[in-house]
Amino acid sequence: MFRLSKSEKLAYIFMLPAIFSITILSIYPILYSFWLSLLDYVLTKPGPYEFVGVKNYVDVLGSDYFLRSFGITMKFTLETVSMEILIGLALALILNESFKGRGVARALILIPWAIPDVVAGLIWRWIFNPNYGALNGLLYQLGLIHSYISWLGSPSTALECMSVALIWRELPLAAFLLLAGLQSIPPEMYESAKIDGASSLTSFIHITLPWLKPQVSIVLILETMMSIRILSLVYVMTGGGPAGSTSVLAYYTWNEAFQYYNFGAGATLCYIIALLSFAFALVYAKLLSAESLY
Amino acid sequence: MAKIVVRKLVLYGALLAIMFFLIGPYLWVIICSVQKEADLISKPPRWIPTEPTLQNYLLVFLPEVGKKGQLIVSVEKMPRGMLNSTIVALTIVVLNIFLAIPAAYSLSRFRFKGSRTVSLFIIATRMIPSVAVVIPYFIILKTTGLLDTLLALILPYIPYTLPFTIWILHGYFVTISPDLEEAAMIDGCSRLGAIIRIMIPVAVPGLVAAAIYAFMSSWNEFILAFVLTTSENAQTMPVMAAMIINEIYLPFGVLNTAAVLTSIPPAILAVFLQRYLVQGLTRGGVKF
Repeated sequence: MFRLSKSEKLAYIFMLPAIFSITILSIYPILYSFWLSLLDYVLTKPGPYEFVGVKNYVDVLGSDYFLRSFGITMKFTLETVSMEILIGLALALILNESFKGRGVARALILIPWAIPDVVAGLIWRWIFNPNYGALNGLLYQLGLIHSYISWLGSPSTALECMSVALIWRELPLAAFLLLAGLQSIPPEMYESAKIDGASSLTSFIHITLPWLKPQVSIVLILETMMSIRILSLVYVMTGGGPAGSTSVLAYYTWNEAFQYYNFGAGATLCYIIALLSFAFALVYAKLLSAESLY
Repeated sequence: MAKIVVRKLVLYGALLAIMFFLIGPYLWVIICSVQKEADLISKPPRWIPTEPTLQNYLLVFLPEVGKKGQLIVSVEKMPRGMLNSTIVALTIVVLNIFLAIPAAYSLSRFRFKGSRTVSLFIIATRMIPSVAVVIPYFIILKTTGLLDTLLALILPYIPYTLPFTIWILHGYFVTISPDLEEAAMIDGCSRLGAIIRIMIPVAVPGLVAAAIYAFMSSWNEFILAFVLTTSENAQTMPVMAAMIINEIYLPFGVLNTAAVLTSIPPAILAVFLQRYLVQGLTRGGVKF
């Protein structure tokens, strides 16, 4: 038998309320959700619901809807995450310089990230409005278009519009996380590179970028999860349309669960989304840390 | 010399472009919320309001005065929505602080059996997507009759916010030397006294950051609130703002006003407490 020391006892007592509430309120629902994914649980049918094993998984993974939403989600994720990293890095580099009004700029830049994503959706829905939208108005006044365009109403542009809205919302977070990395680089590293005759481009490639690896991996992980799970923007901006062109995985899941009340399939899709984001996180972590070993 | 000028020009040019992209849309929504409906549907748009009006805000807060023959049901519920959002968000902040301080303290001060497992557990729960718990919550709350109550939101928001709060606080606590505490305990303070007198005052920036973050996360949350509430009894502002697009006749001014009202508390917090928020985010976010 082991005996707990006094401080160990205290440590457990302090941990207990938090662990207990997380377990009850989060782990239990997750496990319950897994159980649901094994049932033929359609709310509109009378219970008890039949145990069907992995049937939901087989059905979902084999359906054309799933493959289509999966493709749309991947395209959307690739577009948004890559732009967030690129523009975010540019913004971080700018904010790392000293210039007049930097404090004000930094404070205002955070707004898109701080507000609800539903509002981000409403804002961009209004800007992309086919008849009165600001984008159409601006482009028309600049002479770039000759008639107003239905940005959200056409399958070729709707997903791009959603990407713009999400990039808008996530850019501040990406920039601030990368900025924190930039600020942690010791200035001596640049100075000695300068003495060795390195140009600013070479020191950017050989000092700045390698140093930022941990921050880049954090941004990649957080933003990929965000893009894979996005639902509110879709709901507010397009409702999955036009012609299903913006029906991402999360929207497809929501539709199955709360339009068709097929909770079994919905729970299955939730698990697939969660596993997908974990898989991405693992791949990123592996790639970035394996490289930094050399 | 010329090189420095070019560098400055490029810097300011890029900054202006990015700022226009980031600030422009929000500014535009605020402008539109005080425009007359006729100005909102003019082509091209009226960029600067000639006759700003508070008519849309009146419609929300004083419908008897603001209404001119039109009835927009979803808008009249919005003051209630703001109240719901505020109650839920503040409750979550308080619960977070009380649950997270001891947990973060325990993680940063004690090496106990399973302490690594516990921190991994907390990180892992941070990754759980809210869409993954929404179906079980719907069933559980429906069976217990708690659907469409504020409690239906407070319960799932605890694990939704708590892991991150613990991590932000942990990030601050580990930077405080244990010597300070021990000195206080030698002087006759109990451990609890030492925590209250030494740790908490030093960790105030972390507490502020954690509190703002918890407030924002619960104020902004949409998926859970959308599914677990059905009426103005418990609907929060993001839900009401999202549902407003289903309104058959909806003036654009009202749409913009709803967007502003839904976003103003977190926007103000972000602008004025930006320093705390960014510090907490980068510490808690990077060091996990």
